Amino acid sequence: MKVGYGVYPLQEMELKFGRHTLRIEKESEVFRYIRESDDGRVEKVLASREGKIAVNPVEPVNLPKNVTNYLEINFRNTLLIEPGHRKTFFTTFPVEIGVFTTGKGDIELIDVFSNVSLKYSLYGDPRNGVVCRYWESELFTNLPERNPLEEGVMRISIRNNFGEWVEVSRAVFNVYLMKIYYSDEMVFSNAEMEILSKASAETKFLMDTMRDGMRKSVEVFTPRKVPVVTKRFFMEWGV
Amino acid sequence: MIDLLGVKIYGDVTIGNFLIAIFIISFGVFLAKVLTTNLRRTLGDRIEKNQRELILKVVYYIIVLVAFLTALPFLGLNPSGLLVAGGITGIVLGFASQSVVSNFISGIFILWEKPVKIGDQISVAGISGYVEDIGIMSTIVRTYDGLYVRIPNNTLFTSEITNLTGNVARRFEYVIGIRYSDDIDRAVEIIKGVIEKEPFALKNPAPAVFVNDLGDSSVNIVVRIWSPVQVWYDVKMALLSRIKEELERNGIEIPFPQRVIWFANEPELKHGRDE
Repeated sequence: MKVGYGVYPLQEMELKFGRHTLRIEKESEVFRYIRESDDGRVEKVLASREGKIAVNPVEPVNLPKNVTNYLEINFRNTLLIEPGHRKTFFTTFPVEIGVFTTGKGDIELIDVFSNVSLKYSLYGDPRNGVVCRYWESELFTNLPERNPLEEGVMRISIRNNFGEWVEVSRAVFNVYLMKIYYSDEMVFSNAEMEILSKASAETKFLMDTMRDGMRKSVEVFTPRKVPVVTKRFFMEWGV
Repeated sequence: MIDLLGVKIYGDVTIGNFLIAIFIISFGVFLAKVLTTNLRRTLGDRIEKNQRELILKVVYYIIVLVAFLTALPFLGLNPSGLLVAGGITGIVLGFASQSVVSNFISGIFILWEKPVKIGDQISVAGISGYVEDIGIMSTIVRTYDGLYVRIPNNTLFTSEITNLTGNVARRFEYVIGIRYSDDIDRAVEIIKGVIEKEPFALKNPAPAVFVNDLGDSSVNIVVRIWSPVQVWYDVKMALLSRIKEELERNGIEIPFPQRVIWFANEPELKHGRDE
């Protein structure tokens, strides 16, 4: 499937992303960015003489509005893992598509949209817990094929460092430092989960890509904006 | 001119000493303002506004305090002497500045205990609104209708504070009445469907939809929904009308108050045509 992710020169063009159509129109000295879908129309004026437009998957916590930086993936098929065992699985995650403009100076986010339904959840209690983007997925042992405009594939390495069997039904991630790679066929991210007890674990994103030739996404949440960022998330309210 | 600067005001303190003291304090205040302004710009949004303002206040007051202590000898006051010169003066000053000290100490405790942060929505002493600033002496609240309210820290500290945004999520509730003739299970299913479509109606804790009361005119369904605290009011406002619309689209109506009257002897109805 040929999709429209990529970096384009800022010029008149039209791209189709599922139910969303993106258009760049030139109007005298400015460009007009237009996105149309059944949700409505977004229109922004880009006052730039030259530059580029990057369209790629971004961290899935921006819509309808950013209230968190955590992602919870709930496994439909619960995993039971023996002590000391490490196993790599595949799971899916929701794709949000970011449109950036790059010109002189910084990269600026223009728009974010998605082709999948949005849902949030609370991990932990209301006092100390965290609000998370909620997503349900199977735990696959083989690489699943997914529509890259809707779902990404996450390789997750799960290791049980606890001395007993542990039941794992979810993974929660801090999307700061989430690395997303894309190609025409796949959106990919890589993570690991280290189980510390029956109710706690640590998760983090890894930088490896799945295949050669995949491009790294421009991120919305960059470490530049957050100087002190822990790479790991400690899941202390159950796994 | 030099002679004028050498004129004694009191004790050994000359006009020159007095001007030097004023200069040191003014320079301290100026330096504190410049430093905090630059620090605010440097920190930007890298740390939470609340923590940033606390750091800025601490830096500001430390610089001013150092300048003040540096200037004291020029005013004929020995800072080390002040420590032992408490006594009756201290007691008198203590009584005189009781409320000031009380507010100051309360301010320190508020900054330390952090029951509220800048940007939080609070309800305290009958005032509800956004915390705009937490000072050493008072806290500024902007009420929902845009009024500026200064609450002395002592009042804030000794009052019951409800922090409306202190937790990451909060629950809200609707009571929705349907007709006795409507299908309850269907109504519950429709309401749950509408909630499921709302992104910020949290999946967990799961929303609760149940019949709570058989009212005079309606079967009352309670709907309890958890939402992220940043958006809970928006969700609360938007969801109720969507539930109403969806119920009505499916033929389920919210009834008006009604009373069924039974007559022991049914009166004979007279119509103009029969008369």
